[in-house]
Amino acid sequence: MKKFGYTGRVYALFISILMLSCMMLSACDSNGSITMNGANVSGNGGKGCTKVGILLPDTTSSDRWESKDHPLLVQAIKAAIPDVQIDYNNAQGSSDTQFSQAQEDLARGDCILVVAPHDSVGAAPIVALAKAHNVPVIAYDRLIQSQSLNYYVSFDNVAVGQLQAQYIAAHYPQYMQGGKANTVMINGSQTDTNALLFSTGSHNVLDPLFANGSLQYASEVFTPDWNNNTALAEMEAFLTDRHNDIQIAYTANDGMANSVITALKAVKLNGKVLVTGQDATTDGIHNILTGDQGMTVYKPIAKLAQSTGDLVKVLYNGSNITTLTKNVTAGTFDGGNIPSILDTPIIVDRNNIATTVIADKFITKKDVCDGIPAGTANVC
Amino acid sequence: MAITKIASPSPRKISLTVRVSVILILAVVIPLIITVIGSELILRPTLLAQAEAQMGTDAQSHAQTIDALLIARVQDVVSIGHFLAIQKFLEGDEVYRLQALNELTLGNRLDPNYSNWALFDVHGSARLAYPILPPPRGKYMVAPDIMQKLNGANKSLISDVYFDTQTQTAFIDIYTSITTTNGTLLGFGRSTLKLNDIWTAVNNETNAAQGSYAMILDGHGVRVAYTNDDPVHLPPALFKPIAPISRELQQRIRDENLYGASNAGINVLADQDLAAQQNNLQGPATFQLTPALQKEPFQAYRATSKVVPWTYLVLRPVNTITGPANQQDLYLFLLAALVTLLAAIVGVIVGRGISQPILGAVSSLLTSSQMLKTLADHEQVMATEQMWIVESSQNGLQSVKYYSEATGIAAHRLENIGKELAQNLNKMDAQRMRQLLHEIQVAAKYIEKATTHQERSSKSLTTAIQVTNQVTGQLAANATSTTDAAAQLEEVIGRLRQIVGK
Repeated sequence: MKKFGYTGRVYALFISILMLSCMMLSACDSNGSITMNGANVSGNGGKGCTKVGILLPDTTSSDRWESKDHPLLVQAIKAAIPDVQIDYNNAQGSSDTQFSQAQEDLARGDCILVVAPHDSVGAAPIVALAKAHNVPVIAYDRLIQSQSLNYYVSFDNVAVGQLQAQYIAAHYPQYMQGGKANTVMINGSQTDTNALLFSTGSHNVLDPLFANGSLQYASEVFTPDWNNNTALAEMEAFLTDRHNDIQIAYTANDGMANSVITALKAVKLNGKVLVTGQDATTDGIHNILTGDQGMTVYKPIAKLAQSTGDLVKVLYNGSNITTLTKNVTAGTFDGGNIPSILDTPIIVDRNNIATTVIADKFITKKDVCDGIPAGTANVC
Repeated sequence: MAITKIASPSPRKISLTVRVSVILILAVVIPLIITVIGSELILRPTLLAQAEAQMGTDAQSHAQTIDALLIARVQDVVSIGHFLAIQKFLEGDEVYRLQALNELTLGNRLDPNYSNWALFDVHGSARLAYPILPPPRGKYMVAPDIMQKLNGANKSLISDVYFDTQTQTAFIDIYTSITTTNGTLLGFGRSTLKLNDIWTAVNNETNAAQGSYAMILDGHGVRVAYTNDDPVHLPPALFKPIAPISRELQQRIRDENLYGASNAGINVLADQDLAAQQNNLQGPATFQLTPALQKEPFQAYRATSKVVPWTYLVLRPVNTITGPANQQDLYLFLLAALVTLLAAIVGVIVGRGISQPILGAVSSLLTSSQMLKTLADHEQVMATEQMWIVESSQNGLQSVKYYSEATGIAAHRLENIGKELAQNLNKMDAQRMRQLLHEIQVAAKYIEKATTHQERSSKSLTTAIQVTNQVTGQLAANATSTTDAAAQLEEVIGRLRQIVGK
């Protein structure tokens, strides 16, 4: 074995220290970041797509999202694309979460996104991101305020507000006290375009009544995030301000209506104030059967889901969507005209529960009648 | 055996200890230098890129937030503009006045930054407002160009920025056209939105990094929001364009009282670099410049709004961005100094560890060399002495030989004289006798003289023998010294082998 001489040892020492120093210094490296280029997946406009992302907004504003929309959408999309892989997400009331979920879906290669936005404006970046991937976005039930949005499937939301208001217009005399029908209006979230459309629809019907004095406009609010607890506080404040002199409570959905009824029960006014609702939830139907709520709007979610499934199938096949949209569009703030499928909502009161939500198996009769006295409304 | 004299190398001027120290220092400092260079070439650009990304996220998120806010506020006006009572009121049905006012009130409550909601007829005259009839915008209630743009169904727009000098509040007007269901223009709805939240967001930019600030430029290049940490005074750059504006715009600013300018118009605070960048909005979103009122280079990132022609600019001092690199350089230099010191100390220790045995060996070699030199001197002296002894001995021997021969000649002469006397004693005359006697005396004297010389030669030889004995003793002593020197050399070789290996 060759042994080093003096010079060799010195150079070996030099190199060793050099290497050691380099190793030490490399350990002192700054916090360099590793950039990974995300897969630039081409969604191909949804054609031939077998991976679909479903993004729903929350679990608190209404139980419909998890109990109805989620399973029905999965069922409809699986029927549309037999071998489809579905990525389901619920944003739990956060626009940021929803955006992150959309990013993850796109990273996984989802090529069609069905998005019920938590926030109509806040969800616009999802559309922009999907567009960059050539992935079509279907705004489900709630419009996304972006001219880049591809499709919109919902109900005729102005008509929803009109149905609610028409019920008030038809029934307010039964609730008048002292010749007055003081009316409060608890709208949905102002960041939800649908809530604004419901409000527009309701005002289209109620404003003439307010103007001619048939109804007395007491107060009106929009309820952030459709929060039921907020709605409860709002109704309590109205009752306090008006010394309980309220006869009509236009309430945008069943969840908030249930809160309004809770506030009314506290002052023993439940059943004496006309309360409206929407979504035909089990609680809403119960409240109708007990007389605490006058009506709800049944938006056959199965129909909405089916329309979405139909649209997904057309996209998968690369067919022409005008057979579905029939040239109906919805406008966005930035001048967009979004091809839309707008299904017709159905009013439900104690007279047609059996022929609507029960007949459609939207809610089972057992659930409808749970805790309700037999013979109520000829349903139970 | 032939001995080749090797030319000795000239001694180095730098000691081995110093050389080892220098090598160690270089071994440590070179990587540090490489790192510093790497820092300049890699870390600084990386830090700038990271800061750009962070600033980009910041600017884009702010621009998106502004967009979302303005979209929502536009939706408010558009939606409430669709309410039936408002349409009916603008159609001229006074029955709807109260309800229309209720709906304006509702609209005004949708955002705490709303300060006024108003309805105008198609000529721009105010018909209804909440909470009060708004003051005119300069010469107009609704500027003619705004009415022109709103002439149609479902039209909406956001105005340029106004400034209320009384309340020190910036605001914008959001307009929507109000039409019948068949599209006939009935008038305009307008909400007035204070920019407090947007200004707060711009002010909060100072939290992003030291020295960081932000501004918003509107479509005319006017700074309509500018980071301000002075609770009393407005920032000097606020409501000043970054480049000269046209006379027409200046007139419009006066006419419409934009930016709180009134009759005075607005002054330019030129920023040529920024203006050049703004003239090329398709250019890079990030760039460096030394902004107006600043004395150092800033990294800027801009994000444009999709709703209004505004540009949100985030600016951060380059020094702040590259601060970690500067700090790292400082640490590296400190580290280099420390490590250099350590390396020097280690070098001295290691160098001494290596050089001391060598120096010891050199010292031993020097001693041996001196010993050998002394021995050589002794040998030379002894050689001279020996030469002298040999020469003396030769002379002695020659003298002995000469005197032996002379003695022999003298003895032979005496023998011949004896024979002659024996044979001719009786025949010899007295003269002859005297002559022979004289010859006998001469021979005897010669012999005596030769004997004396022989004694002297013997003494010389004796002396030579004595000297020879002495030289022999010295040679023996020298041999011992040589052995010692050889032993010392072996020891030196052993030491050197310990250092350099076999």
